[in-house]
Amino acid sequence: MTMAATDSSTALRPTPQKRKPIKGRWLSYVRKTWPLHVLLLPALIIALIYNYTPMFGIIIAFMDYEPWLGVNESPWVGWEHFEYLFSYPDAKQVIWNTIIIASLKIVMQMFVPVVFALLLNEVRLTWYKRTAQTLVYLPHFLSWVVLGGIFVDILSIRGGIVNRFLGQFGIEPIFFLADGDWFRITVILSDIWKDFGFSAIIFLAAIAGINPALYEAASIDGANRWKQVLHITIPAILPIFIVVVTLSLGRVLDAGFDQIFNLYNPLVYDKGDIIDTFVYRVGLQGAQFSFATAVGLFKSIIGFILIVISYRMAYKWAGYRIF
Amino acid sequence: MRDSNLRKKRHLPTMLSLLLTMTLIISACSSTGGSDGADGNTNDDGTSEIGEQVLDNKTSFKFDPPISFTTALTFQQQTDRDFKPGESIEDHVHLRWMRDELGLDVSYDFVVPNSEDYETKMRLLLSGNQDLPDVMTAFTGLANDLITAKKVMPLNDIIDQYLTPNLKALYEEYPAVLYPVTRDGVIYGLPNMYAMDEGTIMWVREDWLQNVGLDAPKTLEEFEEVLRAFTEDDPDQNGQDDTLGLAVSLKDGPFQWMASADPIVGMFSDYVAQTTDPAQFWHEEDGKLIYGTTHPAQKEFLAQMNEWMELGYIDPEAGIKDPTKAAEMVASGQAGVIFGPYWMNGYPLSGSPEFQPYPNPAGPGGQVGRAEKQMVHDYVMFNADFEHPEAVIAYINKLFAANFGEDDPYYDPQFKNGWHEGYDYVEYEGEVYHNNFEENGLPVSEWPKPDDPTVTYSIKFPITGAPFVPYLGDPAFQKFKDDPDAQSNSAMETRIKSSQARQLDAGLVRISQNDTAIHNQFAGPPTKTMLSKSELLTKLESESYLKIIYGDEPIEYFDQFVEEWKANGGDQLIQEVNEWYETTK
Repeated sequence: MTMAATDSSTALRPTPQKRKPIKGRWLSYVRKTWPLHVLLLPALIIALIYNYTPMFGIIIAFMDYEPWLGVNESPWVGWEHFEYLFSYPDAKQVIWNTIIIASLKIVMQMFVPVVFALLLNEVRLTWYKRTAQTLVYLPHFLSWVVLGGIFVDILSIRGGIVNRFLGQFGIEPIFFLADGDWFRITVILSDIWKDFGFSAIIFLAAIAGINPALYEAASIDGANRWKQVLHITIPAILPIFIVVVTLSLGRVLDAGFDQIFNLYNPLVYDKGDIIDTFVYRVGLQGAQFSFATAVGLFKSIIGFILIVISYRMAYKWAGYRIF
Repeated sequence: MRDSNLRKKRHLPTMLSLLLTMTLIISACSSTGGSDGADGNTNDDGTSEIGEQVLDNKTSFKFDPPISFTTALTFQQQTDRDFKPGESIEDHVHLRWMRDELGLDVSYDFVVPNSEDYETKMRLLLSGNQDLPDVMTAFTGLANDLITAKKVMPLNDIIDQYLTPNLKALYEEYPAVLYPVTRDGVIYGLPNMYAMDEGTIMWVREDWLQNVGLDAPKTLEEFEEVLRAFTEDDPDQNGQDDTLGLAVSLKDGPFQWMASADPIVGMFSDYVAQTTDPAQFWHEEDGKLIYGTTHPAQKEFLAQMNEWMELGYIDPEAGIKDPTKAAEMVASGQAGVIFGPYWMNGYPLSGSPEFQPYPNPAGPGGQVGRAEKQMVHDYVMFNADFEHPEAVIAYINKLFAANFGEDDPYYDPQFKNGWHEGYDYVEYEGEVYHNNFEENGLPVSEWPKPDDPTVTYSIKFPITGAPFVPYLGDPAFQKFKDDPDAQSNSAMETRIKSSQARQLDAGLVRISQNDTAIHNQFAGPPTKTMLSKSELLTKLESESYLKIIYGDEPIEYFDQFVEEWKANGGDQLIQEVNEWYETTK
């Protein structure tokens, strides 16, 4: 919730600083621009009601919240839930799992879509290009509830298609979903399989926006395809790439609830249990609302800090401002 | 730049933050408006005079003017087989009957698709101090909240005065069903119970038995031999090594609603292992309750499962499969034995007539046992401000009387053949039909759904769910086994009469082992540790069980696991459960 709010606050900032009028001309400025402010008003109100007001809910992280007492009467307990989180026997394991799985996903989601977009851009056959693009982004629209069942089948050690394929090369069947290390690999690979096509759209759009004159000039200067990619395409999509990376760094504690929840089982708890599945079991199945909120708040704060840091870094090194 | 916002929003709202958001909005909006009317008292005069007079005639009563009340429901329409065209959950034959014949006008405050949503919604109403429905249903946890919040009506007087003697007798026979909603002798809820006909039996592939030259197993040795033969001796005779013995789901512990392992647990001891809920299973030993999952007897069970797992007799993917997924193994002809309830005849074994029901085999000491599920589904509770509980009780009496039969003072003969003619049954030329309308030569106009002879409509009861009475239907299985055309004398019997032959057999197998059923003896409200340590304890349990079965840890690890379990809240749990147990003595 914290992150949602930060996001909107910056996005919806009404008057960019550049256009701020000098003192004394305030009235004429308002007179000129008031219709714009009125147009902005509904969006501001919606953001206030749906993004900011609910943020007060984080106070239950510092309470012993009971539904029948409500927010007003539940007793305050200070940092108790946070202390409990860090003294919880599984907390370290769960946080560590989350960071590992999420960072590997972020790294993969950083590079695979870019590489795919660059490769697809070099394809000459239009029909092939279009078909490939459509096919790879389709999985994005499948739900993990459905895919969970499918993956159990195709990764089966009893005649699953993946293990049969590996068997062709004399590899013993691998129990992907019941072996902790393989589980992590499965989760990361299936995540990239599901989403790289969709993530590539943004890069394809950026590539499509490059001025063709640049390529023409380059080829006149004798640059081959490889040199053109290196010196035109990649620099041109770099800003978008930085935006994507910056934003994804905020997800370092977000390893993908839907996916893990539908694939995991007690055999891989030690390597595959993440903060979100943990919160689900504690918070929703055990109805420990305050504790679950405390964990959620912890996640949001870490995410917020990371976004701020990466934003600064992007500005300092790449000179790029997102907001 | 817009794009950056869109991208992030996809990732942010987890289920939890959404839930909390809603909680806060609602509580923020309403905390000022609600009045604090809940002081736990019912109206002093208890009930209205209109109600009393009308109810003098027990079999046929009608409230005039009609009594209106609100309730809430968990319901999701699955298919077009739920309602006749033009009907809906808000307006269907049963509600019309209640309104026109009984003078009871039901409306829903909300209808949600699943029980999580239901509980969330109720808790939101609670925390926002908003009006609750007049009549509610609640699982133990929510019931506990409602009682603690003093929002529900004490029912002792109402039960004494209005409830049908048959239900009162039932509560006396199974006093534990009321424990979770009783505080200091005050009863706050009426249990909606299960038919208790789902006890686990063994389904075995008959043709495979013949192919390997074995009989259905009665002992552990025979059982093991069958598993071995089904795994190694090519029972389907296709020349390929593509079969195994037991299809089972171990992902959520040994006791499941299907593809269960509880009869194997029951071969070794009277203590049931259930690794997903600290409230189950508790067993009395020397006047104290002990926890089944951590009892040393489970070592034998685990060692046996580990052995079979290594030998390949058990589905190697049992640990990652839920019951539905595990049962695909038998439906697709890959496994020859599965444990589950009698209704597996219809699903998932309807396409596998080779599977036949058998009693659970006996363990090394001749021990036979199965885990019996909890008896209560949820509780009917009345808003403390509701004025006509007696009217709703009268309606409940009438429904249950249809099952108890004509001895019940509330028995209404119109329900003898089913609930509503043209919906769940058809009467045609003096005969009653529940299915097979086409085969029985009924004209299309008589079918409940004129274009589809396979459809019978189930009745959507607004408060009670289908009104079941535990074990009440058992005698009917034998009755209709002996004579499929015997006269049905109650709604319960009618339901059983319409079963297929194999389902009747399966039911009889289950009944023959009713005395081996092991019940959970903890029936109190959730204790403090159950709420706060549930995640930690159940994770430890399910992880340890699977690791031992899969051989990742040796069987000696069990003792270490129990030590850890105790240190992480197990000791407290045992103490709290026994404190509750003391109060029931």
